[in-house]
Amino acid sequence: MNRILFIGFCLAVAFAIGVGLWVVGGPEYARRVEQDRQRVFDLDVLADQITCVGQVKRVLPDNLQGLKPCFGRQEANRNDAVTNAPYRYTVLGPDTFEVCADLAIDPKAARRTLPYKNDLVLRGGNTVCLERRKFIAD
Amino acid sequence: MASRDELSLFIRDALVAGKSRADITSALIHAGWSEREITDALGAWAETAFTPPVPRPVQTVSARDFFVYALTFGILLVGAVNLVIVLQVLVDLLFDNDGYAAVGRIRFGVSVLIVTAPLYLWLTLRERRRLARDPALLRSAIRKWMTYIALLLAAGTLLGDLIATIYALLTGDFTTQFILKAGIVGLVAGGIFLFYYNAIGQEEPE
Repeated sequence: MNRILFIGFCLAVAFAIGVGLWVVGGPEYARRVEQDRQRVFDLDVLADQITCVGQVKRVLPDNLQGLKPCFGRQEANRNDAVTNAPYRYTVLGPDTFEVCADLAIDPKAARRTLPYKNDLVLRGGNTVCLERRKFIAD
Repeated sequence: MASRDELSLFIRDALVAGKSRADITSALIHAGWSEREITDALGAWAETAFTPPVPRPVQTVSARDFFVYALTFGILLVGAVNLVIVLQVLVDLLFDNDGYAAVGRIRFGVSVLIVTAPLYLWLTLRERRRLARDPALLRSAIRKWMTYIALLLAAGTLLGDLIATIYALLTGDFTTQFILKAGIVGLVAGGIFLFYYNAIGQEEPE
Protein backbone atom coordinates (compact mmCIF):
# COMPACT_ATOMS: atom_id res chain seq x y z
CA MET A 1 0.00 0.00 0.00
CA ASN A 2 2.71 2.46 1.03
CA ARG A 3 4.80 1.47 -1.97
CA ILE A 4 1.89 2.40 -4.25
CA LEU A 5 1.41 5.72 -2.42
CA PHE A 6 5.12 6.47 -2.64
CA ILE A 7 5.20 5.74 -6.37
CA GLY A 8 2.01 7.77 -6.79
CA PHE A 9 3.62 10.78 -5.11
CA CYS A 10 6.72 10.48 -7.27
CA LEU A 11 4.55 10.38 -10.39
CA ALA A 12 2.47 13.38 -9.20
CA VAL A 13 5.64 15.41 -8.57
CA ALA A 14 7.11 14.37 -11.94
CA PHE A 15 3.84 15.35 -13.63
CA ALA A 16 3.76 18.75 -11.86
CA ILE A 17 7.38 19.50 -12.77
CA GLY A 18 7.02 18.29 -16.38
CA VAL A 19 3.73 20.01 -17.18
CA GLY A 20 4.76 23.10 -15.20
CA LEU A 21 7.96 23.49 -17.22
CA TRP A 22 6.08 22.78 -20.45
CA VAL A 23 3.56 25.54 -19.66
CA VAL A 24 6.03 28.23 -18.53
CA GLY A 25 8.81 27.34 -20.99
CA GLY A 26 12.53 27.21 -20.41
CA PRO A 27 14.97 29.95 -19.36
CA GLU A 28 15.42 31.30 -22.90
CA TYR A 29 11.66 31.55 -23.36
CA ALA A 30 11.33 33.32 -19.98
CA ARG A 31 14.05 35.81 -20.99
CA ARG A 32 12.22 36.58 -24.23
CA VAL A 33 8.93 36.96 -22.38
CA GLU A 34 10.58 39.45 -20.00
CA GLN A 35 11.99 41.37 -22.98
CA ASP A 36 8.51 41.48 -24.53
CA ARG A 37 7.02 42.71 -21.26
CA GLN A 38 9.63 45.48 -21.21
CA ARG A 39 8.72 46.40 -24.82
CA VAL A 40 5.03 46.65 -23.96
CA PHE A 41 5.87 48.64 -20.82
CA ASP A 42 8.00 51.00 -22.97
CA LEU A 43 5.08 51.41 -25.39
CA ASP A 44 2.80 52.34 -22.50
CA VAL A 45 5.20 54.98 -21.15
CA LEU A 46 5.79 56.33 -24.67
CA ALA A 47 2.03 56.50 -25.37
CA ASP A 48 1.52 58.36 -22.08
CA GLN A 49 4.22 60.84 -23.04
CA ILE A 50 2.68 61.44 -26.48
CA THR A 51 -0.78 61.83 -24.94
CA CYS A 52 0.56 64.32 -22.43
CA VAL A 53 2.45 66.38 -25.05
CA GLY A 54 -0.58 66.22 -27.34
CA GLN A 55 -2.76 67.56 -24.56
CA VAL A 56 -0.47 70.49 -23.75
CA LYS A 57 0.13 71.44 -27.41
CA ARG A 58 -3.45 70.49 -28.36
CA VAL A 59 -2.13 68.59 -31.34
CA LEU A 60 -0.40 65.24 -31.65
CA PRO A 61 3.30 65.39 -32.61
CA ASP A 62 4.12 64.41 -36.20
CA ASN A 63 7.00 62.23 -35.07
CA LEU A 64 8.92 61.33 -31.96
CA GLN A 65 11.92 63.53 -32.68
CA GLY A 66 12.32 66.26 -30.11
CA LEU A 67 9.59 64.77 -27.93
CA LYS A 68 10.14 65.89 -24.35
CA PRO A 69 8.53 64.29 -21.31
CA CYS A 70 5.87 66.27 -19.50
CA PHE A 71 6.87 67.81 -16.17
CA GLY A 72 7.34 65.17 -13.52
CA ARG A 73 7.07 62.25 -15.95
CA GLN A 74 9.82 59.81 -16.84
CA GLU A 75 11.54 59.87 -20.22
CA ALA A 76 10.21 57.06 -22.42
CA ASN A 77 12.45 54.59 -24.19
CA ARG A 78 12.02 55.14 -27.91
CA ASN A 79 14.15 52.25 -29.03
CA ASP A 80 13.90 48.55 -28.34
CA ALA A 81 16.47 47.77 -25.64
CA VAL A 82 17.46 44.46 -27.29
CA THR A 83 17.38 45.14 -31.05
CA ASN A 84 17.77 48.93 -30.79
CA ALA A 85 15.05 49.24 -33.43
CA PRO A 86 12.88 52.37 -32.88
CA TYR A 87 9.31 51.88 -31.72
CA ARG A 88 6.89 52.85 -34.49
CA TYR A 89 4.58 55.82 -33.99
CA THR A 90 1.66 56.40 -36.35
CA VAL A 91 -0.92 59.17 -36.20
CA LEU A 92 -4.27 57.57 -37.00
CA GLY A 93 -6.46 60.67 -36.75
CA PRO A 94 -6.61 64.13 -35.18
CA ASP A 95 -6.85 62.62 -31.71
CA THR A 96 -5.73 59.04 -32.07
CA PHE A 97 -2.38 57.40 -32.55
CA GLU A 98 -0.65 54.10 -32.05
CA VAL A 99 2.82 53.00 -31.01
CA CYS A 100 4.01 49.59 -32.10
CA ALA A 101 6.80 47.16 -31.35
CA ASP A 102 7.92 43.79 -32.64
CA LEU A 103 7.92 41.12 -29.99
CA ALA A 104 10.28 38.16 -29.73
CA ILE A 105 7.42 35.70 -29.22
CA ASP A 106 4.20 35.36 -31.18
CA PRO A 107 1.87 37.78 -29.32
CA LYS A 108 -1.01 35.31 -29.47
CA ALA A 109 1.04 32.73 -27.60
CA ALA A 110 2.61 35.28 -25.28
CA ARG A 111 -0.56 37.25 -24.66
CA ARG A 112 -1.13 35.67 -21.29
CA THR A 113 2.21 36.99 -20.10
CA LEU A 114 1.85 40.56 -21.37
CA PRO A 115 0.66 43.50 -19.28
CA TYR A 116 -1.98 46.03 -20.46
CA LYS A 117 -3.50 43.23 -22.50
CA ASN A 118 -6.84 44.98 -22.79
CA ASP A 119 -5.23 47.92 -24.62
CA LEU A 120 -3.02 45.84 -26.90
CA VAL A 121 -3.86 45.49 -30.57
CA LEU A 122 -2.38 42.44 -32.25
CA ARG A 123 -1.07 43.02 -35.74
CA GLY A 124 0.35 40.53 -38.21
CA GLY A 125 3.54 38.69 -37.38
CA ASN A 126 4.93 39.47 -33.94
CA THR A 127 3.80 43.08 -33.91
CA VAL A 128 1.70 44.57 -31.13
CA CYS A 129 0.44 48.13 -30.86
CA LEU A 130 -1.00 50.35 -28.17
CA GLU A 131 -3.74 52.52 -29.57
CA ARG A 132 -4.43 55.71 -27.60
CA ARG A 133 -6.60 58.80 -27.87
CA LYS A 134 -5.23 62.21 -26.99
CA PHE A 135 -7.08 63.84 -24.15
CA ILE A 136 -9.38 66.33 -25.84
CA ALA A 137 -9.05 69.80 -24.33
CA ASP A 138 -12.07 72.11 -23.95
CA MET B 1 2.62 13.45 45.61
CA ALA B 2 4.88 10.77 44.19
CA SER B 3 6.26 11.14 40.66
CA ARG B 4 6.28 8.55 37.90
CA ASP B 5 9.99 8.00 38.58
CA GLU B 6 9.16 7.04 42.14
CA LEU B 7 6.40 4.74 40.86
CA SER B 8 8.90 3.03 38.56
CA LEU B 9 11.39 2.72 41.40
CA PHE B 10 8.70 1.25 43.68
CA ILE B 11 7.75 -1.36 41.09
CA ARG B 12 11.37 -2.29 40.55
CA ASP B 13 11.93 -2.71 44.31
CA ALA B 14 8.69 -4.73 44.64
CA LEU B 15 9.71 -7.05 41.78
CA VAL B 16 13.16 -7.48 43.32
CA ALA B 17 11.44 -8.36 46.62
CA GLY B 18 9.53 -11.11 44.79
CA LYS B 19 6.05 -9.54 44.91
CA SER B 20 3.64 -10.67 42.20
CA ARG B 21 2.30 -8.23 39.64
CA ALA B 22 -1.22 -8.68 41.02
CA ASP B 23 -0.05 -7.74 44.54
CA ILE B 24 1.83 -4.70 43.23
CA THR B 25 -1.24 -3.61 41.22
CA SER B 26 -3.61 -3.87 44.19
CA ALA B 27 -1.16 -1.99 46.42
CA LEU B 28 -0.84 0.82 43.89
CA ILE B 29 -4.61 1.02 43.30
CA HIS B 30 -5.05 1.26 47.04
CA ALA B 31 -2.52 4.15 47.03
CA GLY B 32 -4.56 6.02 44.38
CA TRP B 33 -2.72 5.26 41.13
CA SER B 34 -4.91 4.69 38.07
CA GLU B 35 -4.95 1.34 36.28
CA ARG B 36 -3.51 2.95 33.14
CA GLU B 37 -0.55 4.39 35.08
CA ILE B 38 0.08 1.06 36.77
CA THR B 39 -0.14 -0.91 33.51
CA ASP B 40 2.29 1.50 31.81
CA ALA B 41 4.72 1.39 34.73
CA LEU B 42 4.57 -2.41 35.03
CA GLY B 43 4.92 -2.71 31.25
CA ALA B 44 8.33 -1.09 31.50
CA TRP B 45 9.60 -4.35 33.06
CA ALA B 46 9.72 -7.63 31.18
CA GLU B 47 7.55 -10.49 32.52
CA THR B 48 10.28 -12.91 33.37
CA ALA B 49 11.37 -14.81 36.44
CA PHE B 50 14.87 -13.41 36.07
CA THR B 51 16.10 -11.15 38.86
CA PRO B 52 16.85 -8.35 39.04
CA PRO B 53 13.85 -7.34 36.85
CA VAL B 54 14.70 -6.77 33.20
CA PRO B 55 13.75 -3.38 31.79
CA ARG B 56 12.00 -3.22 28.40
CA PRO B 57 13.50 -0.92 25.75
CA VAL B 58 12.40 2.70 26.02
CA GLN B 59 11.98 5.43 23.44
CA THR B 60 15.14 7.29 22.50
CA VAL B 61 15.81 10.93 21.71
CA SER B 62 18.85 12.09 19.78
CA ALA B 63 19.98 15.30 18.11
CA ARG B 64 20.68 13.36 14.93
CA ASP B 65 17.08 12.12 14.83
CA PHE B 66 15.82 15.65 15.32
CA PHE B 67 17.95 16.92 12.43
CA VAL B 68 16.99 14.12 10.03
CA TYR B 69 13.27 13.98 10.82
CA ALA B 70 12.72 17.74 11.16
CA LEU B 71 14.43 18.15 7.78
CA THR B 72 12.46 15.31 6.19
CA PHE B 73 9.08 16.50 7.45
CA GLY B 74 9.89 20.16 6.76
CA ILE B 75 10.76 19.27 3.18
CA LEU B 76 7.61 17.17 2.94
CA LEU B 77 5.50 20.12 4.14
CA VAL B 78 7.09 22.67 1.78
CA GLY B 79 7.06 20.21 -1.13
CA ALA B 80 3.43 19.19 -0.60
CA VAL B 81 2.27 22.82 -0.38
CA ASN B 82 4.09 23.67 -3.60
CA LEU B 83 2.86 20.52 -5.35
CA VAL B 84 -0.69 21.64 -4.57
CA ILE B 85 0.07 25.20 -5.72
CA VAL B 86 1.54 24.06 -9.07
CA LEU B 87 -1.31 21.63 -9.78
CA GLN B 88 -3.96 24.18 -8.78
CA VAL B 89 -2.42 26.90 -10.97
CA LEU B 90 -2.32 24.43 -13.86
CA VAL B 91 -6.04 23.82 -13.29
CA ASP B 92 -6.60 27.61 -13.26
CA LEU B 93 -4.75 27.95 -16.57
CA LEU B 94 -6.85 25.13 -17.99
CA PHE B 95 -10.02 27.11 -17.32
CA ASP B 96 -8.76 30.69 -17.58
CA ASN B 97 -6.07 31.21 -20.23
CA ASP B 98 -4.57 34.24 -18.53
CA GLY B 99 -2.26 35.42 -15.78
CA TYR B 100 1.38 36.42 -15.61
CA ALA B 101 1.30 35.85 -11.85
CA ALA B 102 0.16 32.27 -12.47
CA VAL B 103 3.24 31.62 -14.60
CA GLY B 104 5.43 33.05 -11.83
CA ARG B 105 3.78 30.81 -9.24
CA ILE B 106 4.38 27.75 -11.42
CA ARG B 107 8.05 28.69 -11.86
CA PHE B 108 8.54 29.09 -8.12
CA GLY B 109 6.60 25.91 -7.30
CA VAL B 110 8.54 23.86 -9.85
CA SER B 111 11.82 25.25 -8.46
CA VAL B 112 10.80 24.16 -4.96
CA LEU B 113 9.75 20.70 -6.18
CA ILE B 114 12.99 20.17 -8.11
CA VAL B 115 14.90 20.73 -4.87
CA THR B 116 12.58 19.14 -2.29
CA ALA B 117 11.31 16.04 -4.13
CA PRO B 118 14.69 14.31 -4.73
CA LEU B 119 15.89 15.34 -1.26
CA TYR B 120 12.77 13.92 0.42
CA LEU B 121 13.06 10.76 -1.67
CA TRP B 122 16.72 10.32 -0.73
CA LEU B 123 16.19 11.04 2.99
CA THR B 124 13.17 8.72 3.23
CA LEU B 125 14.77 5.80 1.40
CA ARG B 126 18.02 6.23 3.34
CA GLU B 127 16.14 6.23 6.65
CA ARG B 128 14.09 3.19 5.64
CA ARG B 129 17.28 1.28 4.92
CA ARG B 130 18.67 2.29 8.33
CA LEU B 131 15.45 1.20 10.07
CA ALA B 132 15.50 -2.14 8.23
CA ARG B 133 19.10 -2.71 9.35
CA ASP B 134 18.50 -1.66 12.96
CA PRO B 135 14.85 -1.91 14.19
CA ALA B 136 15.94 -0.31 17.50
CA LEU B 137 15.82 3.01 15.63
CA LEU B 138 12.04 2.61 15.41
CA ARG B 139 11.96 3.64 19.08
CA SER B 140 12.94 7.20 18.21
CA ALA B 141 10.54 9.48 20.08
CA ILE B 142 11.28 12.34 17.67
CA ARG B 143 10.40 10.17 14.71
CA LYS B 144 7.10 9.23 16.36
CA TRP B 145 6.31 12.86 17.21
CA MET B 146 7.11 14.11 13.72
CA THR B 147 4.98 11.37 12.20
CA TYR B 148 2.03 12.30 14.38
CA ILE B 149 2.52 16.01 13.60
CA ALA B 150 2.43 15.13 9.88
CA LEU B 151 -0.75 13.14 10.49
CA LEU B 152 -2.25 16.07 12.40
CA LEU B 153 -1.45 18.56 9.62
CA ALA B 154 -2.73 16.19 6.92
CA ALA B 155 -5.94 15.53 8.86
CA GLY B 156 -6.43 19.27 9.47
CA THR B 157 -5.94 19.98 5.77
CA LEU B 158 -8.41 17.26 4.82
CA LEU B 159 -11.00 18.68 7.22
CA GLY B 160 -10.42 22.21 5.91
CA ASP B 161 -10.77 20.92 2.35
CA LEU B 162 -14.04 19.22 3.23
CA ILE B 163 -15.36 22.37 4.91
CA ALA B 164 -14.37 24.50 1.90
CA THR B 165 -16.09 22.03 -0.43
CA ILE B 166 -19.34 22.08 1.55
CA TYR B 167 -19.15 25.88 1.81
CA ALA B 168 -18.64 26.14 -1.97
CA LEU B 169 -21.60 23.84 -2.48
CA LEU B 170 -23.80 26.01 -0.28
CA THR B 171 -22.66 29.28 -1.87
CA GLY B 172 -23.12 27.98 -5.42
CA ASP B 173 -19.38 28.06 -6.23
CA PHE B 174 -19.18 24.31 -6.71
CA THR B 175 -17.70 24.51 -10.21
CA THR B 176 -15.64 21.92 -12.07
CA GLN B 177 -12.59 24.13 -11.49
CA PHE B 178 -13.27 24.16 -7.75
CA ILE B 179 -13.88 20.40 -7.65
CA LEU B 180 -10.55 19.74 -9.36
CA LYS B 181 -8.67 22.10 -7.03
CA ALA B 182 -10.31 20.67 -3.91
CA GLY B 183 -9.61 17.18 -5.26
CA ILE B 184 -5.91 17.99 -5.60
CA VAL B 185 -5.75 19.14 -1.96
CA GLY B 186 -7.67 16.03 -0.88
CA LEU B 187 -5.44 13.66 -2.83
CA VAL B 188 -2.16 15.15 -1.60
CA ALA B 189 -3.24 15.51 2.04
CA GLY B 190 -5.06 12.15 2.00
CA GLY B 191 -2.06 10.44 0.43
CA ILE B 192 0.30 11.82 3.07
CA PHE B 193 -2.13 10.84 5.84
CA LEU B 194 -2.51 7.29 4.54
CA PHE B 195 1.24 6.92 3.98
CA TYR B 196 2.16 7.80 7.56
CA TYR B 197 -0.89 6.11 9.07
CA ASN B 198 0.12 2.86 7.37
CA ALA B 199 3.75 3.38 8.44
CA ILE B 200 2.68 3.67 12.09
CA GLY B 201 0.45 0.61 11.72
CA GLN B 202 3.33 -1.43 10.35
CA GLU B 203 5.63 -0.39 13.18
CA GLU B 204 3.10 -0.79 16.00
CA PRO B 205 1.33 -4.08 15.30
CA GLU B 206 -0.43 -4.00 18.67
